[in-house]
Amino acid sequence: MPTIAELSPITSQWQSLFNLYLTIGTVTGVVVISLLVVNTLRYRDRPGRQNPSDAIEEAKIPAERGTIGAALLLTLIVAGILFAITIGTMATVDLIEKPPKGTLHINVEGFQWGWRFTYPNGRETVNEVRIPAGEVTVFYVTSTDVFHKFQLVEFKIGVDAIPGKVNKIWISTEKAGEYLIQCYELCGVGHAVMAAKLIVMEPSEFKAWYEGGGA
Amino acid sequence: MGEIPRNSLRRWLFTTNHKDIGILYLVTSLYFLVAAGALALLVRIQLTYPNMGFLTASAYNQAITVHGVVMLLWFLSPIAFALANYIVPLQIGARDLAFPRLNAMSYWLLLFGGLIAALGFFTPGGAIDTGWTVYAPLNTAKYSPQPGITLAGAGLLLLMASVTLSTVNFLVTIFRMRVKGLSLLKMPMFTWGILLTVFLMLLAFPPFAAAVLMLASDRILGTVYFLAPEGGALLWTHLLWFFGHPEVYILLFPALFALGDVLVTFTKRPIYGKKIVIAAAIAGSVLSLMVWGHHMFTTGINPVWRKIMTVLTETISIPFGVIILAYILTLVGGRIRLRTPMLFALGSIALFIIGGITGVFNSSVAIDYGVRGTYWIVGHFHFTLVGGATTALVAAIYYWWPKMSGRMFSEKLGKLHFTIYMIGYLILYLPMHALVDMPRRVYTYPAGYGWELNNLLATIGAFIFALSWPIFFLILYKSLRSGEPAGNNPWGGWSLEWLTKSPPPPHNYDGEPVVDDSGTIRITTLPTNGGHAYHEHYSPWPITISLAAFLIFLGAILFLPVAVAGLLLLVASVVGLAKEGLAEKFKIPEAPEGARWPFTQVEKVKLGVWMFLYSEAVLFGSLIGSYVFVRLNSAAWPAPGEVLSITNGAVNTFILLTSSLTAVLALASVRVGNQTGLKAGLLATFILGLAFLLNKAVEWNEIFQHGFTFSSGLPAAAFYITTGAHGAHVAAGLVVLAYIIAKAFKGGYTRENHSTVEYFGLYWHFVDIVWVFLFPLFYLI
Repeated sequence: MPTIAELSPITSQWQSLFNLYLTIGTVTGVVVISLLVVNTLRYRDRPGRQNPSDAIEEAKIPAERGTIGAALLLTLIVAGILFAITIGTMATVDLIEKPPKGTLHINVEGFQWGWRFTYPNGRETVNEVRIPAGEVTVFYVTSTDVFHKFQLVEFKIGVDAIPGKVNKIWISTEKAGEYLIQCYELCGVGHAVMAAKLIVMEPSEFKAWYEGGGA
Repeated sequence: MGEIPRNSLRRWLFTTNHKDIGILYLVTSLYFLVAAGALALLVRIQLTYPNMGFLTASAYNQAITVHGVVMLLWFLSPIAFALANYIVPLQIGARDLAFPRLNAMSYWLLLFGGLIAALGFFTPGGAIDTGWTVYAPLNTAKYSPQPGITLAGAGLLLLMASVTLSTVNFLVTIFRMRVKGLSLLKMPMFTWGILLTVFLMLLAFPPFAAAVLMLASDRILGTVYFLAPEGGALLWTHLLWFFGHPEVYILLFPALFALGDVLVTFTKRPIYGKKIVIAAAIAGSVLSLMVWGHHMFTTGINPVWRKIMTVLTETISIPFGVIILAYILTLVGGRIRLRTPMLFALGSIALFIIGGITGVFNSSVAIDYGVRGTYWIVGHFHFTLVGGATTALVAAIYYWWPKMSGRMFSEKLGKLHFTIYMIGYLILYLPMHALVDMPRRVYTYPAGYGWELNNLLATIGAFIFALSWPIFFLILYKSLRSGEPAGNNPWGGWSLEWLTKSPPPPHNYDGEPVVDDSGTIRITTLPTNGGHAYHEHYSPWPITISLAAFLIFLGAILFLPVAVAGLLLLVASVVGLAKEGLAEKFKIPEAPEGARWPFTQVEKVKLGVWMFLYSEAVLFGSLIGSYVFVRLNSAAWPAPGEVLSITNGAVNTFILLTSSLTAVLALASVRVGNQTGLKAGLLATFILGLAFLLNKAVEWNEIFQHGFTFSSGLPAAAFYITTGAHGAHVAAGLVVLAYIIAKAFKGGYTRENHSTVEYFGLYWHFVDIVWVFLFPLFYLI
């Protein structure tokens, strides 16, 4: 299997964004859960432990605790973490949604249960799509019946296939080989097997296949 | 009804006491938990290894769909309402909910809704199998002709009727029936949680109700809303997720705020920043209504809108982060007793932290391109709804169990339960996060993608987790059989429910609870006349009306004669209910003074009508919004006057507006004691309402003749569904009006006592205002 970085610029950027979230998320999670555990152990009831000074009493409305300043501080801490990751998101989303120029355009139709691909020269394939390595391919995805999701599994990217609507998604990969396309939105009993092969070919081989019209 | 022995079956069928209904909710929701949990185990068995043959694709799809729908709507929501029913009136010192019969009806509608949805398993094609999101157009008869989906739709409609009634009931109860001195901010956390929950329900459920109504019409009458390529599929996702996202908080708030009460009791300290927590939850609620787009990142909708949704969704993490940090700060300096409820509470916080953090990932539109539709998402929402909500609700059940049963449970077994629960939980759900690229909702998957180990682990974890539940039920059973008597206040809690017996007597308190200025709660002795003691009340009509609704839907979907039987039962029940009302048998006393801010001047029924109309406004707003949405997506639409006669519409507008005027005249007359004017006004209103409906019937018949039928396209679908829903409201108004006229002719309304006439007027004017919107939208543009 190729590494993430070799697959496609989208995939590598997606993975590094995911890793950024994962790092910040893990650190945050570890810190907060540690606070929970440490404070529980530290203040647990033991022989000799006194009631706090503002302890609640039976049949008595508890006193108020906490200040607005503390609330603002808590809010700022959480907001600061979120700000950092939002910036990462905005950069990546632009890359995903704006394909570079000079591309191969393939129309994709999802149906119960398979994928039909139509090339610019009118060539049609079902459940198998061939693209050249090293070039940008844009898929124009729609559906002829129900709601599907066109997912390029190894590339960790996909877009919904909706009747009456065309959505696009692009990839470009250096690595020739066979990959999986799979429906990721429940679409009936054939959903699990609604898959197609994505075959990335060396440009010269692709050219021969595309223009030759062979199988 | 006369006296009914407390241990009879009739008690449980006819009860309207909030504690009985709470127990009914509890037993029912736990039953649904076991059923839906069993389905989840079937799913996990099928996924143990790649290419397993345990379930067929169809059986698998039914299992995951029913599992999801039942867990969300027939387990998590009702179990929160079980506790809310039992505990909220106790916490605010009320004798019952504001409308006990409506409360009983809420329960029975929920149960019959669950039953009608479950019947799908026994019909050809099986139960609903579209995933709980029921995406369009897979949900239409063209792609899923089996009756199982229609039955589930009917179940959802009954459930939403149940939720609407509960919402109104709890809002009025919490706003109007607090004891003297218990201001809103002094209320215990759990009651706050329920208040926020029902507020959110009032806004979030009606759009979903509109969607299901449109779907039912598509499937039963043959309209084509969701089949239309002009935005049908997207319309469903908008309506579903506008409901679906707040629904997460609807399921979370009761649990999150029950945690608040548990934390206070077991740390012996007040919540850190109670006001901050409440304010954060309100902010979270408001935001939750504005983030539904994050479920639609990959649908290709407007990119700017997607970025806004990303930012709003990340913002929503702030209030929940603040709440969790406030809860952790509550621990600091406390005297923490690690009893079973507290262990589950702490476990819930820890798991919710993880679920909250993985949620932030999904708020990113960029990450969502990759994770939408994968097991990562399954792992995430199970951490929030099982780890966060369910674990906290287990804590809450343990916490209030001694109050409800009067008995303690085994602390040793409780700790064993906690250990097995947490171990099973983590082995079940943590591996799902490593399946970032595996599709969800597939009954089989290929080998060689690195998915094998984590699926195997999850299945092993599922069985360990499942084992923890029989232990839970065993603990409760043993406690009922041989638990130590609990006494009034076994945990040392401060709030009102701990001041009465365990279990509490039918009237809750042997006296009037009062909160004085220093914050001390006392139970004063009853006034000598026994003035506000609450008598047990039973009514057979909540269950028969709910059963009738069940039969009508069943008949409409499967076998028409059943619907006739249902209709007859409905008429008989409504007449019975009206007689009960005319005899004024059913009166829940309101304490002469209580804490009622901000509705001090609003009588409780009026407040109920306001709240109900509020949800109605959202319902019609959703129907009208759907019409506008598909119309903007359509290239062609009939010109004004082409299909619908403008004159006819104008005449009907005139008729309906005049009927509002006569309703006002009736009220004005009774206010000055003019009985003739009252009767004349009411009769005129009735006749005008009837004329409106007759005129509509003639109009529908005519356009039908000209080929504008239910199935003739989007314009017909939008017209018939929207104006049909309005017509149904007019018809329902006429039924109530018939009752009011009967009472008026018996001299039932006087100068001092005529509130029903006024509240009917509110409803009637509302229905007229809706028409004022519908007329131009459908006839003039």
